[in-house]
Amino acid sequence: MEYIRVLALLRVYGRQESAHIYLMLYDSFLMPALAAYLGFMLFVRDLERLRWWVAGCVAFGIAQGCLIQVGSAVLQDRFHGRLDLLRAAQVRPLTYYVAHILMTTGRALLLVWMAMLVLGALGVAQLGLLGLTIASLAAVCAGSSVGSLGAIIGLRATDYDQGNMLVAVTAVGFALVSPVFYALDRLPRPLQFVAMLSPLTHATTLLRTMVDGDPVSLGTLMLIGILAFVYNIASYRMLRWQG
Amino acid sequence: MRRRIRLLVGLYALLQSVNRKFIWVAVCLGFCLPLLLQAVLGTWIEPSERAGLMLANLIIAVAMLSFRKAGIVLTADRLFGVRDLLATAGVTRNDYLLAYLLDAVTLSAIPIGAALVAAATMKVAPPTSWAWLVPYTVSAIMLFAAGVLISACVRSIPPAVLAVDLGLMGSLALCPIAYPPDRVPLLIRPLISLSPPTLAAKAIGASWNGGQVFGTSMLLLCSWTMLLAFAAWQSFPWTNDI
Repeated sequence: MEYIRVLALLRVYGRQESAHIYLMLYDSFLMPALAAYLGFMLFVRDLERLRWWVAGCVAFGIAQGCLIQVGSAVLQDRFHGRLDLLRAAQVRPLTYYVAHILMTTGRALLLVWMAMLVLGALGVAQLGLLGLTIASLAAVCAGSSVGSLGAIIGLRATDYDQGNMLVAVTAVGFALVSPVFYALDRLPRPLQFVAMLSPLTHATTLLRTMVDGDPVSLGTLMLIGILAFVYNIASYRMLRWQG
Repeated sequence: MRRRIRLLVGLYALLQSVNRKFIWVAVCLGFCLPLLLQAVLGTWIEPSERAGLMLANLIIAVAMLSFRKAGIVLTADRLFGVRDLLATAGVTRNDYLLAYLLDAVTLSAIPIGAALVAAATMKVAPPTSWAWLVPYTVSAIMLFAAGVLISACVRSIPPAVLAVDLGLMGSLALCPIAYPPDRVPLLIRPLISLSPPTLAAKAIGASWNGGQVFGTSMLLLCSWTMLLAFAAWQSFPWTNDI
């Protein structure tokens, strides 16, 4: 029964997304692609730095796409009356939450696969099945954590305009404060600890490891999994707490 | 005439009160974002290219506050009935656009602070004179006109958001604002070299370094500004029949 409800909700949000498919395509594909092109122009003839930069662009795309997608959807649900409608239809908070997280992880996965396809086609990186699986796992964890952050903002906002603005500013700020485009050790020590709590930090590390063909650190993989779990639990508790 | 000036001042004051409410957004986009981008990207590039990056951040910040704001806010005003309400109060299209233009020029003061802080902290040569503010202000007006034009062409907010974001990101990636012009592919170089963001970067960069203010770039930039302003003024819909 709940499975059918999740599917129905996915269809609703899928339709909502497809109504503005060009926005989704821009956030998830065109914007990271333009950022990658900018990197290519900045670091022309330096393949090493370009690889580094492209992995950062993918993480940046995840932050933008997933956070804005879930944040905007929750805001629309809250302030345009859909949440009341779902409550009246006795949709459980878990069903509602799972639908949103499935949507956002789908977007993150698509983004990573597209990036890997482009990197493979350009000959910058060749990923095996294991590499692709780990990159996908990193995308799922980062996408769901960032999406849950969007849900928290959407649930805490006092009005629609304020929420929308907060979602947009947080999406850019979160991606820039996480060491996505620079090395972690460039941050001051207290901020390094804060950056370790960002799933984007670990997702970028994993993606860079994959692109470089280095062995994967199990610690990073576990850490991103734990962070995704904590972020999602916190967001879900808040959804339940708000009734 | 006196009534029109009163209306214009009232409208400008209204926009400033909205700005005060959302001042943190303007500071984030106009001051913190360029400094953050400078700090993040400045570590990646050669020290000699940092001046170009600082100018790129300056242009992106002013575009956020004039081009992006005009594109989205003017569309929202039209869709949510603010424009019609103002029209019934006797505000004309010229007053309305002029008040928003003054607002955009006021807000464009914020990135100047960020540029000066970036120049001091990132060891970029400071401006030789304040003459660089002339092409900077012309660029802000041109970007505002481009934002109005986008607002006039779209029918809802999502396309407006997409158009302004695409314009911003496209300008940063495709135009040689942040990187040297000789890296642009030969095929698109003639087209890119005449584009408004490239000309704005050239004109501001030249006058920042003590070069001629009213050179070819400035002349072309002024032409673009007049063209975009005329197109925006002509196409921006107004409710004259209320």
